[in-house]
Amino acid sequence: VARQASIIHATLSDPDVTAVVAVARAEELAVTETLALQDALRESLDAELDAIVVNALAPDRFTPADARRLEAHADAPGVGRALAAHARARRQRAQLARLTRATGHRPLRLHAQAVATPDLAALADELAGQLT
Amino acid sequence: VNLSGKRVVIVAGSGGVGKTTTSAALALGLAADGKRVAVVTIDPARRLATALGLEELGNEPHRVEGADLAGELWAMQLDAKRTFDELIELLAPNESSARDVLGNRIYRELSGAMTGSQEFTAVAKLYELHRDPRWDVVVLDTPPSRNALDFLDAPDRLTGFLDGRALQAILAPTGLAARVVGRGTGVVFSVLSRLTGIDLLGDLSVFFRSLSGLIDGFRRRAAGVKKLLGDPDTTFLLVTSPEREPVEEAIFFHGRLRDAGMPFGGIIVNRVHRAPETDAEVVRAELAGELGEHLACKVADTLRDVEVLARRDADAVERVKRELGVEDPVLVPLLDEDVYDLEGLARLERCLRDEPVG
Repeated sequence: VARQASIIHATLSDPDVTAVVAVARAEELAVTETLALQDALRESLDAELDAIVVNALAPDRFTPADARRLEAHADAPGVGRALAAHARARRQRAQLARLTRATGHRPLRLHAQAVATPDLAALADELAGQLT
Repeated sequence: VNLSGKRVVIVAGSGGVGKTTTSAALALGLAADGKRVAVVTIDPARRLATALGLEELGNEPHRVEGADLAGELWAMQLDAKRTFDELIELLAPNESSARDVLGNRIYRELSGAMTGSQEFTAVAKLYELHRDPRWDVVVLDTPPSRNALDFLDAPDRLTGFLDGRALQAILAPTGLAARVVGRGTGVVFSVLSRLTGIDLLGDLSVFFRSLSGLIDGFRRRAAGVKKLLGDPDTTFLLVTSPEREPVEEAIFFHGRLRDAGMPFGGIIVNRVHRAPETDAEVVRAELAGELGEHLACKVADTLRDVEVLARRDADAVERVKRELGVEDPVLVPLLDEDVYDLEGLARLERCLRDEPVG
């Protein structure tokens, strides 16, 4: 058992063999858990996260100037939805920034639109485009 | 969600679907109705602690202050290791055999690493709280195990292990443990013991000997837990998001509940996108004059995104209805803010209580 365990440990902690990729949403609790995962990896395997993928991001369409103009027309049809989407995107951006700061990684990003249609090839393309 | 008359509410579903938050919101709602409620979570990320504004959760429920409730809300985070230790103290025939097990090196190593016992520990705690007169209802947020089903099998698995041939072979009067003890320490082991200071064989035989005294207690407890899981006052609520994997898991879990004759109480679909009230193209045309074509297009694109997600979610809800034979799943819309405090929980609870949205 001890021999098996030490082989497993060596395999997991060898960066030439094992890469650890964390996947999270840009939400407060998910980011907190990813940071906890990073700490646990360091502590138990003396290993680092190789990459972080942030999933289900909302498109970030509106500039602050856009948002101000939308707020002035908040009662117009569809604008409430646009402002809610903007607020969500801003919250996600803040969490993304927090994750980036605390890990030193620039997370790979996947967007909610892509995830809605389970098209693995499209997701792979989106990730590959960021890996270069 | 109708929980009237229920004394045990078990909230199950995949990880990341808002299970812990939903459990806390349900517990808050029950407490608002005048019930004395204990909510138990096993989440290592202390999500419930965050949601309930508690600095620390121990292995005993803490009263949650700050909410104006007709009843009482208590919360705890399950410490699997400590609960297991307590269970051994409780089930051991006497104090000295409890001490033997708890102080045993093998036990300490095993129980610390026994993540597999988390499911059993969770239901064991549930059983204990259920019998405690301080609470009317216990809400259990199930362990974040990859397979939520482990939890249904936990009592059977434990009983299976205790009755299993391997353990019996060790514990029988002429079994391995007896032979090891009878023979005393062999040469190899005594050398090892001298070299390392660890009396592995001694530890092992004490461990198995003490364990044998606990088996009846464990077996009775496992039977009690199993009975409680199938009790009419118990209900299983499934929680999912509209995404594919959690929905598949919920459908599978529902089937398992049915097969096992466990009481299914309903399904909650979290984070459902509502379809936009107005067509994207109509909105673009209307807004272009006031906001300019560029910004109007961005608004329309946003609405189209929401339409796609709302369609996906509606399909998922239909699939849930069809597969589970449920007319009225509870739909919680994607909220504009994360739920991290009592106020947020109360808002969520209103969604759970209301007629289906969307």
